[in-house]
Amino acid sequence: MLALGCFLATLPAPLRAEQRLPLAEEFFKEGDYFRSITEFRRAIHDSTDEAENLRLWLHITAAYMNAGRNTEALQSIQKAARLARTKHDQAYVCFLTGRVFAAGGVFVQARKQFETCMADSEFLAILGPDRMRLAIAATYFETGDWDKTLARLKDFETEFANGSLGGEATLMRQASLGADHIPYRSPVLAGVLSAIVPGLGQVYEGRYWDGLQAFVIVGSLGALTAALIVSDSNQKSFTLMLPIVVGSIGGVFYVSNIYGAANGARMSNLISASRYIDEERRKYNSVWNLP
Amino acid sequence: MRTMCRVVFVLVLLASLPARADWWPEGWYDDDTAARPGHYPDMEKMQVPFYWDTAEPATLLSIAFVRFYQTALSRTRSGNCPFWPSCSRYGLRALHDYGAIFGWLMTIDRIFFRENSDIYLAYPRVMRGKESYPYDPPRFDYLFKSVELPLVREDSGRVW
Repeated sequence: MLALGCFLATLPAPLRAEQRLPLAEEFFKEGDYFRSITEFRRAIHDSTDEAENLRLWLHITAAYMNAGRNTEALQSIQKAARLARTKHDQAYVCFLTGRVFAAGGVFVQARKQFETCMADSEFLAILGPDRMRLAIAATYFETGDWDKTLARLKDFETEFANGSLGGEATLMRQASLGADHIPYRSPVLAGVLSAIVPGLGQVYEGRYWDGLQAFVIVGSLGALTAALIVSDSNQKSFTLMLPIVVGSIGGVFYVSNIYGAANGARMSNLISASRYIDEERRKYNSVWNLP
Repeated sequence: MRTMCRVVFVLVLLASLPARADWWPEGWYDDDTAARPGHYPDMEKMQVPFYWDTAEPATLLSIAFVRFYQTALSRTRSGNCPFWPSCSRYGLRALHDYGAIFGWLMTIDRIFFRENSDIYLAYPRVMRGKESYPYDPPRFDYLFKSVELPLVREDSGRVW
């Protein structure tokens, strides 16, 4: 018992509630989100103040979002929603719920959440109609809906001349207009080119070595099939069994080459759009930062 | 000839029974585990999808063929597929999700016509050990269903 008591006395004293918060914030700044979440949760356990607990749940939500755990972030923000008593807090939680959906890439749901926030006039006054409109435009931009983004941003600067988000709106509009210059490859044309000459569709997309490989493989199988047909026809037992087998394999490769060319063009367009959005997103990221 | 074909057929099917975890060279991984663009965490070990829940004989036979390759032949090769999921896993998933016809079209395109270009440097990436690989799941390559942006959504360690 004496030994146990001595051992227990050497253990560090448990942290007090006021020591946990700076530690949690330090972990958050360092990027150790799961440790910061643990400390925030312990601080919630020690705290009885609802307003303080709401703030802590919002910190936990932010930590989960940064860690890529969007399901857990949504659960945290829903717990925070239960603690929001004032209209101001409820408006913030409503907006941040949409922000969590947007961070998880579920932009349709994010848009519905923002529209729910806008439906309440008090929420709209607290969050700002310019911020809500820009947030909805951002959800269209993130999914590559350039026309709808431009429609939402129409006359933004004149309507909200006194606001602080005019710059972001201009950047988003320029980015949406600049999307016309994203390189585009027609999947139909790529498929037709590959049907005419195996590998030509891949070359059209800029995949030169893939095109050469397709030409060599499909061409070889076609040539082999033709050679087998000629040699089989010269023989007495004219069965065409081997040419049919080789020809079938060659046919599958030929169709696969056409399919791959068409799909490659489609993916090339999507990758280009995705990279463009990633680059342009940084310019208007402050739309998500509530005052 | 016919008897030999039947024997080979049965051997292929028997050799392609579902494997235990330790039979897979790289361990159990979920094909959908990947990263947000610019953020490459290590993949987590998750349960491998069950590929045998299909009633089409052509698809079953194709899956058996790919599993036979994985269990019997792939260890003799250097395993240098430049993508994640690897070509054989891609084939299993494509065959399971899209059937024998489109599964084979997609798998042949992946193996023979899609390994040599710089465009794959722009694909979303995933870590596997110390190296990163372009992430190219079968859902990116099925022409008859649109792929919506964002290409990769990370949610609790999984990608949707």
